Amino acid sequence: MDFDATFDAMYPPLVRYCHRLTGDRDAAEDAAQEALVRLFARSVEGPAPAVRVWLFKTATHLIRDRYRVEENRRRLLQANPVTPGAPEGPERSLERSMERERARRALERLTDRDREMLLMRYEGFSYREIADVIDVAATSVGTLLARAERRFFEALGGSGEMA
Amino acid sequence: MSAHLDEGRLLALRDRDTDGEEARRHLASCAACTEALDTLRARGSAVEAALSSLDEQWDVEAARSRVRGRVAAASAAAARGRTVVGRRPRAALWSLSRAAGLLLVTAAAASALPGSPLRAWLGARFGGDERAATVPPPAVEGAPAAALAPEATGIRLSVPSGPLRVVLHDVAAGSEVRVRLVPGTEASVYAPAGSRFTSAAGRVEARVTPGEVRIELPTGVDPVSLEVGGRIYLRSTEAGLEVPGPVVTRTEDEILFRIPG
Repeated sequence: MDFDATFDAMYPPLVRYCHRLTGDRDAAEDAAQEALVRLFARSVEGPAPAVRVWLFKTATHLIRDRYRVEENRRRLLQANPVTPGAPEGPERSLERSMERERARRALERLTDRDREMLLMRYEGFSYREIADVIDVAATSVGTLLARAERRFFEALGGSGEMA
Repeated sequence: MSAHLDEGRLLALRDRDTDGEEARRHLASCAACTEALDTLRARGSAVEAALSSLDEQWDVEAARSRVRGRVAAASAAAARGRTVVGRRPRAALWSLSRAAGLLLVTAAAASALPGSPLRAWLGARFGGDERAATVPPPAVEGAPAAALAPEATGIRLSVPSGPLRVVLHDVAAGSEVRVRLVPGTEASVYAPAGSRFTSAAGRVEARVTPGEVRIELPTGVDPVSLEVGGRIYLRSTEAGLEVPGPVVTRTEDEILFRIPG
């Protein structure tokens, strides 16, 4: 397995997923890097989609272990990390900060499983791949995901009613 | 199909994660389900935008360098006949600890004998509580000679009653501190060779050289605490175990910390 090619393809989405999941930069980097170290050190081989599932599953389990204590997880989710980047006006900065806070609080209101499913879906995983990571039946993913997304959307302040 | 599509099936259609031809045919002739699908699409866009607001920039090159270094270190260790990737297999780790414990107990017993040269040696090297003993690197049970003795030393302390404080100094950034909760009233600390230990009633202090530190904390002693570099990593409270340190992984009886940079 080519180290650089695999790293370039896998690390950015993996650390983004871990960060969305935890709300904590250090925890996200730790989990994503630990998963990649295990991948390379254990010489895990396979087609790219299978490797991706393996990495996300490993990182998800690392994060579950780390945040098994609920209070610890809550404390980290409530962290409000600083976003580096180009300077922006105070109004836009405030707006972005509020958007971020609202999204984080909405995620916090989901169960661990709902949060993991939702974030994996928005990383482009198929329902079957999500089922593999979350350990649910593939046929249940659509219903569970719909519920998770609806709850997240409602927590954001949107109406959950279908037309 | 006459019944309307439920939300899960509509979502699968939106996400193109179904080959349900029947559902598509229903959709083509059902205004209500088409409207519901449009609502789901709008909801998906809102969710995507909300999640994107959480994203940050990452130093990918620094991460690449760290991962490459850790993989290289793991490969080098594997070539020396040791397994250090991520976490060592629990059985190997704790058989190592048990072997070390046996040696420690043996050393402690020998040190208790009047006139024992070991007693004099321990007294000269480690002041304080006679219930504590230290030993050279522990052997791995059943391992060939070449795999013996990772460069480690340790101290064991019998603590009939609380409190117990374990205090670590000079722990290098990036080092791992592995805490195992064990039954009984004996505490132990294992650290790389060159580490220095002192003990007093209810207290163990270690100035450790770079590398992994392993601690056994007895569940039969209360209260207990672990302090690293002046910061509380773990302490028992009336509500249970409080773990404010930088946890990497945690199970019922084991907590792994990694010292932040």
